[in-house]
Amino acid sequence: MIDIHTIGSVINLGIVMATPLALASVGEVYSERAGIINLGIEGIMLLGAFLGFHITYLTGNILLGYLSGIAVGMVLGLILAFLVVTLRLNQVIAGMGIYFLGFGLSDFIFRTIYGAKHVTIPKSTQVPIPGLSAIPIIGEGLFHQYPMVYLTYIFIPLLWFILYKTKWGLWLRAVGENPKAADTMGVDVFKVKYLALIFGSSLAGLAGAFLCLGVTGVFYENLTFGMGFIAIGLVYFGKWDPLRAWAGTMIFGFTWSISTTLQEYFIKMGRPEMTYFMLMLPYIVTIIALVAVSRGARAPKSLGIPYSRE
Amino acid sequence: MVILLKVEERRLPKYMFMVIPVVTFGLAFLIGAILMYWAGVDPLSGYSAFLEGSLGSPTAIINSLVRMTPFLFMAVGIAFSNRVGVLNIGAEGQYIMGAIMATWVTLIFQNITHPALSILLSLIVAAIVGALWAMFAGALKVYLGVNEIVTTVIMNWLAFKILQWLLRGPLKSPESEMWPMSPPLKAHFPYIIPGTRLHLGFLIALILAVAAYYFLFKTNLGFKFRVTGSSPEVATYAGYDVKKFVLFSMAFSGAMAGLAGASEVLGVFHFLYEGIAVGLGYTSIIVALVGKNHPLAIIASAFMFGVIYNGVVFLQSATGLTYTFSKAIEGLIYLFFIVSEVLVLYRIRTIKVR
Repeated sequence: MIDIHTIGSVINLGIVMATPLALASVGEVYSERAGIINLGIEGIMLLGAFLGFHITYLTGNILLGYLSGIAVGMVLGLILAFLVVTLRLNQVIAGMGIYFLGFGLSDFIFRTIYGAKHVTIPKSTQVPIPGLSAIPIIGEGLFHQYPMVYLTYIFIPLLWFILYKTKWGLWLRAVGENPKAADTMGVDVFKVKYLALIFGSSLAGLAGAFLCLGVTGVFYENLTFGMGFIAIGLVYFGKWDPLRAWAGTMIFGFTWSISTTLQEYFIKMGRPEMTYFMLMLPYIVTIIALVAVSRGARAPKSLGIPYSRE
Repeated sequence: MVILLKVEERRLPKYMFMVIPVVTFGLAFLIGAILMYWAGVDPLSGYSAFLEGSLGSPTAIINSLVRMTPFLFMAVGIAFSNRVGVLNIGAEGQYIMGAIMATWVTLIFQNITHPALSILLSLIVAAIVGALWAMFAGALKVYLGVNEIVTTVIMNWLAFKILQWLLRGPLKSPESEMWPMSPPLKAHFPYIIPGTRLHLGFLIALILAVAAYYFLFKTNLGFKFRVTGSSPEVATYAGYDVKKFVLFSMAFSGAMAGLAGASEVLGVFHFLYEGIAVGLGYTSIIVALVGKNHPLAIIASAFMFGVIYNGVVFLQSATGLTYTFSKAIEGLIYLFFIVSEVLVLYRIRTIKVR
């Protein structure tokens, strides 16, 4: 039955599942704070996952895989920024375009290169932190993790700090709230929007690469199972605050982890179809979480509105 | 010194609008040819197999019409809600729910009533459940301000999980051990032209597309709907019940997607399996965009996508290029369409600012 080891591994898997979501979600916080909804996250994650997989397969180097995920994100972020900041296209329509592009291309290129054969790559491995990992339950859950997970422990609080406590963060928030005023203050609004979107997208690309290199170890179509869109939802949940959004990703991660752990019990009980029933839970819980906090959420004022100087 | 781009509207003769789809499809197929070349396939023989299979004979055209049917249903629904200012990207989930309900109702009634009654009941239930599935997201938007794009996509995945569960549980065919599928549906759609695969669903989709056009462009209420989408402030000022319009448009959109699902299981597959959910609902968003959210233009754009989806099957058997080619092409079509629209309708000038 349930023992300490099980609880530790549930926490461990919960954190792992929350990590790609957290990276994508915090990236989205940054672009939305600059006034741009990036609906292409799912597509960026898929293409990041594919390229991360492909480069790791070719070179055997996971770090290069992660870097190429980031690079994909930057390129797609740049394309989207050109569409919505320079050409001032509708952000929802353009973002969906990035989604379709990433979804279609990742699938097509993967099938063309690898065909139907099942290819695996050297997955990232979990590294225990000496000392901390010896703590019962928490040690196994939090400190026996992938390097990418440790990175989020440091990176996300840092991004929170930058957003609220530094000059750059102030500029970013000013551009999202009142671009005209920011412009008058001497902030280069277009540059900030470009950079925020490119940065946010690069995190989405990294998230996709981690999903592939840390979680699955293989690539298959629609590997992200809606995570990109859930990440956008969690930005609303987090009220555009990186730390709150991170907390939101834990809800999804832990529900996922608990329901996959419960699957084993259903299989033992001889009801294998119930494992699929359990997989509905993360989605249901995410919707409930969204509904629960949606009241009183206030988006950055210029969110979705293209900026022009006239 | 900074160089800025300035976007100005152009005054254009009406025929210029035809340039956009021509340029879009032209560019997309050109890049498609490059992709084929990269994949080691001769683009000329690839496209000739593609055209032969999708437009080369009466049978080929009819098969393209069969392929366009779900797109027509869903894109008209999506366009309808777009006109009211809500983006329904949940068509995929509503389609899955429609397919599930149509299967379920048919399995219950096909042995105890006349097939026609069984079909009618499954269509009604599929439409209602599709509508409710969409209205849930619509209600969350209207009453709680939850972004409908996020909720509809999450609900798409939820619907897919429900499908996977039902196919292994309550709807599982006792005869299928390995491959999860439902028992066969005996009370399915009749064929419109005997000897072909063109089924009743195509006719229903066509009638509903024309009806949606008539409603949106020829009735007073339809006018109010369009005003709500194009200028929400005016609608609020005029005292329209915007919330009700949003809910109704989501419901209609969901009902169309539900019918699309019913039409696929009752008209094409005659049983339910996971393979029905291949992202047709997402493609329909592109179909609606290319059809400029106009139900009659969508008939043409749905046909184009029917041709692509049908042609890719022949491309696959002739060259070994997989169906994912159509996914890559449709992503390109979408992006080229939105960009060429800007480039044709607007003039872009660079200005230098000191």
